Amino acid sequence: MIETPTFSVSEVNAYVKGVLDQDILLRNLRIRGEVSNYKRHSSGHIYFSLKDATARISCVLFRQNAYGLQTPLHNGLSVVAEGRAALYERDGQYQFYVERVQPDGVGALYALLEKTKQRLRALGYFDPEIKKPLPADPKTIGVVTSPTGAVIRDIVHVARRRNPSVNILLCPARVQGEGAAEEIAAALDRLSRENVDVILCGRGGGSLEDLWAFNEEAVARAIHRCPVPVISCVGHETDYTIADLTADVRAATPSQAAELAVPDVSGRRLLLDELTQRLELRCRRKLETEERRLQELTGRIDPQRGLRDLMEESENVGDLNRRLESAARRIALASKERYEGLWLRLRALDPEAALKRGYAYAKRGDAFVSAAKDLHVGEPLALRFCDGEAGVRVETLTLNDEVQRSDEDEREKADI
Amino acid sequence: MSAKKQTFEEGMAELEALVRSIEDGEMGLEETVAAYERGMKLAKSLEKLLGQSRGKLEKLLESGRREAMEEADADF
Repeated sequence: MIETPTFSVSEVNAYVKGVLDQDILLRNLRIRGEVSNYKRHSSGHIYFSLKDATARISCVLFRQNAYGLQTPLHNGLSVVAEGRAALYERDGQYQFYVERVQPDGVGALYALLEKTKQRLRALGYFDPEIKKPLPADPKTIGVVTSPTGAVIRDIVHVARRRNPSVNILLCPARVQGEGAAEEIAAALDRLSRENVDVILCGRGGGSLEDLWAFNEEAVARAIHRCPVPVISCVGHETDYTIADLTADVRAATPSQAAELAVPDVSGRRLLLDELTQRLELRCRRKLETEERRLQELTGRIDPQRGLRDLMEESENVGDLNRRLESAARRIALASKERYEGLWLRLRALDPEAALKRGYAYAKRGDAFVSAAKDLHVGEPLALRFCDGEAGVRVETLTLNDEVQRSDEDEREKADI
Repeated sequence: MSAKKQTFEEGMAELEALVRSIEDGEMGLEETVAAYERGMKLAKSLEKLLGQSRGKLEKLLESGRREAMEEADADF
């Protein structure tokens, strides 16, 4: 008879494991169920159960797969998990090794989202009155996002273009997967203690599951308590995440967030350039005007021109002088001629001159006697010659007749 | 008045006022030259504020220290 072999526990577990591993269906399995007994180990592995109304399966989600988890798990969440079923040899229990897990249908996520929204709205997280205004002239902008990828690059690019002198301080955080919400919240807290003027927080576009971290309460709380204005930029156009609703300003994309955060100085630069040009131009014109005025003024006392004037003037003066001189000479000459003529005539009238020519005149006392009719016979007279006087007495007196007498008068006058 | 205490916008406003007053043509030559000198000094410091100096790009590390990030300008 054949003896039933006896195996060790390990041998049996190894055998069962081998059997299960060979099963094609169990190698790639998808299970729908509700998460329970959720536990995240310090190693990063996640342990939970999937259950339905009547049964449960132990599940493990290893750390490397947990990082890729798009939607964080929590008890009660209906999910569809993908992975393989295998025996855990140590315990002799089979487990479901989860590689991917998603909420069971978008409807479930939306329901969850709505519930969180309602709670936070009731807490006043979304109130417009508590929204902080953005700084007008930020020096440093904080960014919470993944250190790799397009988001930080877009933000840096846009911010630099709008104002190159703005500082950018990135606090890296994973933006999807298990634990992302906590990292984002921690990064917000940390940046709010730095000297930043505004914080940009976001990621690129994706499915609702991709963006799920931004719907978590942890992020909303961090935004809510942040003393610095927060701009959310979760890259999706249609639906607002809870982070968007809680943020002070919501931007559709990281690029738009950078535009909102950093005022564009290129317009101011253009204005500055224009003002500088106008300043230079106006001042140059002013100088030119003043220079022209100065030239105009100095032109009037231009030494060249002055000398010319002076020479012209002196020519005139010389001419005048010459004219004056010749006129004076003519006048002087005329005067001399006239004087000489007068002098000659005067000389001719000099009685002494007549006396020298042999004439004599008669005087009665000091008075001249010029006519015979004034004389009396026997009257004493003095005869004046050129060289002396003689005392005489009138002997006879004969008067000419009228005609003769006047002829003699004429002749006498002409002689004298 | 110290140019350092002025914000960018205050500086711009002063520069604009300077240019306007020169353009009014009421100023004498000396005043104009003084305004010109003040304006050019102002423009220079405003230019500086406008980002002649490039801002820092840093990353906060886990340790709490900061690390300058590389800027692949070619990509931007």
